[in-house]
Amino acid sequence: MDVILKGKYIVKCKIKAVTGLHIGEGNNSLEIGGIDNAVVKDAEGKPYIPGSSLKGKMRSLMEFAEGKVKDELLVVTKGERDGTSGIHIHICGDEDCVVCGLFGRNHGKHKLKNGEERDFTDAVLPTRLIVRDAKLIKKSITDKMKENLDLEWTEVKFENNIDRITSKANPRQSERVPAGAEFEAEFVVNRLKVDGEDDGDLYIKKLIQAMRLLEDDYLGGQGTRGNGKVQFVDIKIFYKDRDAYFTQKQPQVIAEAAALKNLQF
Amino acid sequence: MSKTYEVEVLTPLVIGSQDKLQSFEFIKEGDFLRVINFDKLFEMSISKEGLIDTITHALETNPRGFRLDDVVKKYAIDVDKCTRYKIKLDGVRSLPNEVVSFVKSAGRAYIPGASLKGAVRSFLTKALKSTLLKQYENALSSAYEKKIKAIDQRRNGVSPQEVDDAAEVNIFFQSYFSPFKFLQISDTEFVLYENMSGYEIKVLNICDNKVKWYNRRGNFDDPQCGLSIVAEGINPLTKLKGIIKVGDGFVLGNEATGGLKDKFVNIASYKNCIEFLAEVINSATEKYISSEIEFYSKYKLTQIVAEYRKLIGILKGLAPNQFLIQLGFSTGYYSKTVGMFFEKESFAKLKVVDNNSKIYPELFPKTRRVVFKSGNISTIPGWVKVTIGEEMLKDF
Ligand SMILES: [Zn+2]
Repeated sequence: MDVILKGKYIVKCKIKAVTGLHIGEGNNSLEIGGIDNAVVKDAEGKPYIPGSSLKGKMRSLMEFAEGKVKDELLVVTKGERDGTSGIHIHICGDEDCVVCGLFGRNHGKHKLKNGEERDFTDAVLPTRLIVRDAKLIKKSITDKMKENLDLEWTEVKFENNIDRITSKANPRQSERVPAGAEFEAEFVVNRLKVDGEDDGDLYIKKLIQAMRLLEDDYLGGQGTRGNGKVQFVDIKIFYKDRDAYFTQKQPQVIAEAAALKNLQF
Repeated sequence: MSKTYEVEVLTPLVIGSQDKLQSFEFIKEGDFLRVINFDKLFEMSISKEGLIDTITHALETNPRGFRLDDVVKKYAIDVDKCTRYKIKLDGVRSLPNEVVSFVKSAGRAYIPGASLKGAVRSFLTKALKSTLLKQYENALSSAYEKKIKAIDQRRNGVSPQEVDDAAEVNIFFQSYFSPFKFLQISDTEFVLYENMSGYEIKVLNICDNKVKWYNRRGNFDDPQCGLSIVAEGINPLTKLKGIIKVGDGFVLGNEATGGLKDKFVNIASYKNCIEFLAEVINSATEKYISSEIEFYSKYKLTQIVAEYRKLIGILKGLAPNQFLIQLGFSTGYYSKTVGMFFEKESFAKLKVVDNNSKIYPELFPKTRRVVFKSGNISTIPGWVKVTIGEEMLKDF
């Protein structure tokens, strides 16, 4: 396979939490006196959105949208404790698959949901999409909001699970970033020429589609119970030609919009 | 597909947060309640000699008699600079030392998606086929037997928070496979404080077949002697928007879950998941309101009966994408459980299983929470009308 980098599309934008946002630490280790369901934080103790969380969520939304959620196409990545179910992601060997093309394939052998074993190494290309960690924009959490937060940047939300027979509540708590918080996000889409065939703007358009799907869904935990509605705002899309890396040429802005719904691209 | 939903508050809606406002955080100013940021007040008063000592002394010796407004006056504090917000007190006759605080995010009140989803789940459960409802009563019976054994062996045995677990899993499956995974309800937009008020709630308690009003010292004929709970609530007529997504899997199921379609009776031919959801909830609401009307009629509480009749009128006139539901604080045992379908004998079992609550098997529940306005019975809290709108076109 002959692969050439033609250029890079760079999307810079803000991710705005329209409702509270909970992206969990993933490990459930209980800190003594801590919150039992904390959000991920950077070295400075500020919450952020890991690029991997964004990418993973967008991938799964694209899998549904592109009709790739089929038994023979799903790879089991992680078995649940009881072994009856696992987390499935779509990986295939189809060169024209936009999901695998944008989000990438892993090397090595995979076990498919239907039991078969497959190796997609031959189809592995340099990953087209890179999603950076999205850092909190400090001033998006105003002083007025901060006065009312439980922790420096976050709040603790309580939820009750009520027994339908006794009416007794079983409270759970989790930490979340308050609505209104904004994060600085960056996506990079590599434009490739594979065996003489140029991607053109196919994959940057697919990324925008994935962003639209995410606005219609949720990011992070407790999404079906209110959290995680996000919007992309202050969007700028740049294109940086391959040559720009060898010269002083500045990347061009090829599209911009105050909100995703206004983006003409 | 995401759609907007709109909650229209019909009767004062209270969704309590974990914290209560304490007397040192608010000042009553005529018909208004001013809520103070106590930390800020402290900061502002570092220069005012003696103020912090006065406050801490008062709170240590006589917290109930503490009046923040006296302190504020004495030390000439500019309260506007340390005010969180002000809300109206709507016909509140007596203001207790604590006010139930509405749930907030960074100081802004909203309806959590979790509260609305919880209410939806509660009402859907009430609409289940009788064979499925029976599973809850069976779960109670087995909890009862377990508890009796445990008492014999001097163990605790049963947690009142887990009595429904077996029935819940049987009917709605383990959470990973649950149809409720296909129902997403976002938090609403924030509520303006001008659309919120302090509401006075009293506890009605039926004793010897008579209406009494509860307080810690006993039960009284005169409601003015009854305990007053004051809570922050959203005013009737307020409308708030959020986003809802009901996947087809919710009703029809998929390879992982069976969906909800066959779990209810008398549901007119299935058109779409939104209309299905609304129809099922409304069928439960009608049963629930009818049984409440029966209760309040028996004790001649005409104002509440009239309020519920009004709700029935609204229920009858709903469009296929609308439903009526009760949520939040002070809505009572029947609203949150399937207890209205239990045989009378089951409450004797409930009394054993949940021995920390006051349960009178002859009449359970025998209490109700009622909103008072200017000393008169006004309404019941927590009723809202939800309209599921067109496909989402704009922000909240
Ligand atoms: Zn693929």
